[in-house]
Amino acid sequence: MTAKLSRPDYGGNLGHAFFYAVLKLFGLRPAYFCLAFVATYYALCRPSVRRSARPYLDHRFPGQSPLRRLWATIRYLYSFGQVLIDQAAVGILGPERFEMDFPDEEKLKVRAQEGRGLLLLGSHIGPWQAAMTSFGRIPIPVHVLFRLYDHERGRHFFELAEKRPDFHILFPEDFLGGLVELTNALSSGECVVLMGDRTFGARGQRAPFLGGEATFPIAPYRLVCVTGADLVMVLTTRTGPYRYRIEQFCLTDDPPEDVPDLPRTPSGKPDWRALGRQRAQDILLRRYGAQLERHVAAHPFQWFNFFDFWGEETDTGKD
Amino acid sequence: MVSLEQELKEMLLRELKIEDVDPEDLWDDAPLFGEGGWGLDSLDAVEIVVLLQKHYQVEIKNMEEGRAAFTSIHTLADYIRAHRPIGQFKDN
Repeated sequence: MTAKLSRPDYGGNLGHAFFYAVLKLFGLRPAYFCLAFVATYYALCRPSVRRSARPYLDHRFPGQSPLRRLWATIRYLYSFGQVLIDQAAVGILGPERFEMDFPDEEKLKVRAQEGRGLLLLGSHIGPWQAAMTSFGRIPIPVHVLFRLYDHERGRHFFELAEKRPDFHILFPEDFLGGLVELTNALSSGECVVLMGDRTFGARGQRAPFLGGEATFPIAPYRLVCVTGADLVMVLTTRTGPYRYRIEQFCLTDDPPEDVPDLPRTPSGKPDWRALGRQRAQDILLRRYGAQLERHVAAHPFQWFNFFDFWGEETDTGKD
Repeated sequence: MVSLEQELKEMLLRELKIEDVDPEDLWDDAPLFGEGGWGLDSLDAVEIVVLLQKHYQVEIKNMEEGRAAFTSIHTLADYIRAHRPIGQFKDN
């Protein structure tokens, strides 16, 4: 038994086709205008959509009155719709139409070339999928574990762009969840991109998050603990029409607070392999959760999890 | 002399911290992953990949071969024998 994901569908194929047409003919802002009505309709008339948004909104905005909750739901759905539209627009209009503020991009490129292996840990925040276009610019091979066929989220930007992405895509349904290939990639000093807020049915671990305990995947931390790769959290934020921002936070650069003398690798970085596996995982997961919490506090309508993240059961990423 | 299969079993039990199991009880053809054998999962596979690199200098690059190699201790040992660098192969 798994928790059910029920994201707003925005009208299925017909709805998507409508928004794609508006995008092609009129551009982004008219598409957002239409979205306002659609988001309001879903919040008012689709109890299943309200239910799917409730676990997150309950934790982020506890004790809201029904009217405030309805308004929060509309804003949440509208924000999610904007990201879907942006994602489509990157494919249809081209990524060059978007202004991407990525202040630490050069720093990330330098880190990637240092040969330790680089694990970029993403989250379902803002235009996370559109931001993937930037990963192709990292000057080493990039492998992304990605759920491609999820009909509720529409087509992905590289399908709409009708060109191959600049990175290698692996799927959670692949042999052993793609983890064998990802381990090889990190051991060879390459770059791997995983999501830190979905287990996709794999083993998870409970950790504090927004006043409760939620289940996070542990594969990213296990990969780092066995390969010695750098773990960098990547956060994407939509900052306006045609604009988004990517921030990065390295979770492995500083040793644990209570083990400041953790052995160092030849490159001078803390060697997380020297710490007990479970302990290292616990610390890195806590760091991720705390950073995600800070981001969600600042951008409450840009973290998208339409299932009970705090429930005892894990998601499969399927409906 | 300890066979490669036996060596692998002992290494996996030790490194994956599988307790309360006698290596003799795990036969060489028992499935490594899923039900009815060792019961390992994808996170254990991460460890195995690194252990193979560290102890046998063997990498699993081709996933078709990898899928076959990860079937059982027996297939894993065969993979190591076939891919271990020349000169490092012991009699086991």
